Amino acid sequence: MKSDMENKDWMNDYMSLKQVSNADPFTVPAGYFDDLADRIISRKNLDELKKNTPSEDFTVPENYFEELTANIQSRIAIENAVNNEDIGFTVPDGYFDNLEQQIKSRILVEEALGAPVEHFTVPEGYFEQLNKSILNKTVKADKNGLIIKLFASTAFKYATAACFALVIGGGILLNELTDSPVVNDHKSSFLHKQLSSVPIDDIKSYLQLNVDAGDTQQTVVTENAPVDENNLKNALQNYLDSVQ
Amino acid sequence: MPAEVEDAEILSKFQEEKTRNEAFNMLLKKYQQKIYWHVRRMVIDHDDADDLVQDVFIKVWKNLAGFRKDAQLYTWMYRIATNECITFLNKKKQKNNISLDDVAYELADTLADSSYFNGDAAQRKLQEALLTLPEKQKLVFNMKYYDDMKYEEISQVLGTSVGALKASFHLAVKKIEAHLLSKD
Repeated sequence: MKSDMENKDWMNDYMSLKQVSNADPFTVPAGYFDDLADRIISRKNLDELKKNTPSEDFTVPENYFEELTANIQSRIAIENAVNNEDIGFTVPDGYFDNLEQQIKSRILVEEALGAPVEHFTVPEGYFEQLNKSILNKTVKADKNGLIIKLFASTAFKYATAACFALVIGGGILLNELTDSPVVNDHKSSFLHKQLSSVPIDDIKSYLQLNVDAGDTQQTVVTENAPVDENNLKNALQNYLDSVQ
Repeated sequence: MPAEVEDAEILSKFQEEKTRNEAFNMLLKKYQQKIYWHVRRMVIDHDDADDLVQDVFIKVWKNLAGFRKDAQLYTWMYRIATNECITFLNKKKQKNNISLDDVAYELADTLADSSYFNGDAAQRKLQEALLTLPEKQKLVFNMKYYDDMKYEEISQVLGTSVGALKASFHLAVKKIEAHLLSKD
């Protein structure tokens, strides 16, 4: 590989080229050649390792792949035969033809009978906010609601007492002024007073002869007419005279 | 500085199972930089060159046992490296669906953006001129200009006759000279 002068002489004919340095203008990273041999040996070792290592660590039985196709085809044939075999149970004719439709119909019926489907919708998160909203409106309203005090002042108490006094006083006065009408309204009481002077045996006898149960009731019910004392005395006297 | 190990010793040790790894280590230390620079000048980018250099030596490891001693060891490795570079550039062309000329433009951009280039303006212009050359002319020029290889050695690498190589080299140098003399 050593050059000789003969090979160098050609440059004398090309002066421009001769002026250019024939040193290699390229450089390499620092220390590149220091470990280049080691890297090449490492790569060589790795290459040998790959070469000596079988591509697959697993093995298969002898003639496995030669028989694999036939085995697969046999397996497929067996699977088909098993799937086509009658297993003893039967279904009505056309059962599977409309099974899907039946199931869908059943689902629709179940849904219709089941919980009603809500067709309305509410804004997202509505129910979460509803409780809070109600509480805000009610609790806050109670807190801030109008509070009315019935006995706000002592003047109201005095006015109320005065009203009671007027009503009671008025009632007494009215009672005094309307004494006769009250007597008229309580004729039964006056009748008893009059009868109290008549012996009881006489009254019983009178009632047994002249009054039956219906008359007594009628008398009590329709006794609205004013009692005439004279007539009453006369009637009793007549009765007593007729008995004697 | 330790004396350079002879290729014959490397090959002898490689034949023995026990000393094979040692032989490969010796081979790496002797040739890794030569192979790297050969690849780097072709693909420009350091990372691409790094990947390709490793690929080259993996192939060397795999095929060194069958190496015939009628060729020199380094020309045989150069041949492997050259083929790797050409394959890489062709893949790049197919991947991006672009022509080799466009690959050259891409490489020129890579050169401009490379942080691992410390040449002067004349060297940069020389590299730009090299990127305009067909791959074979570029290979011939690089091996002649940078590696000082004889035509016979280059012939072993490229599998091309010495006469054809001389013609290719002559064409390459003329283009480069014209490019260097141009103002832009």
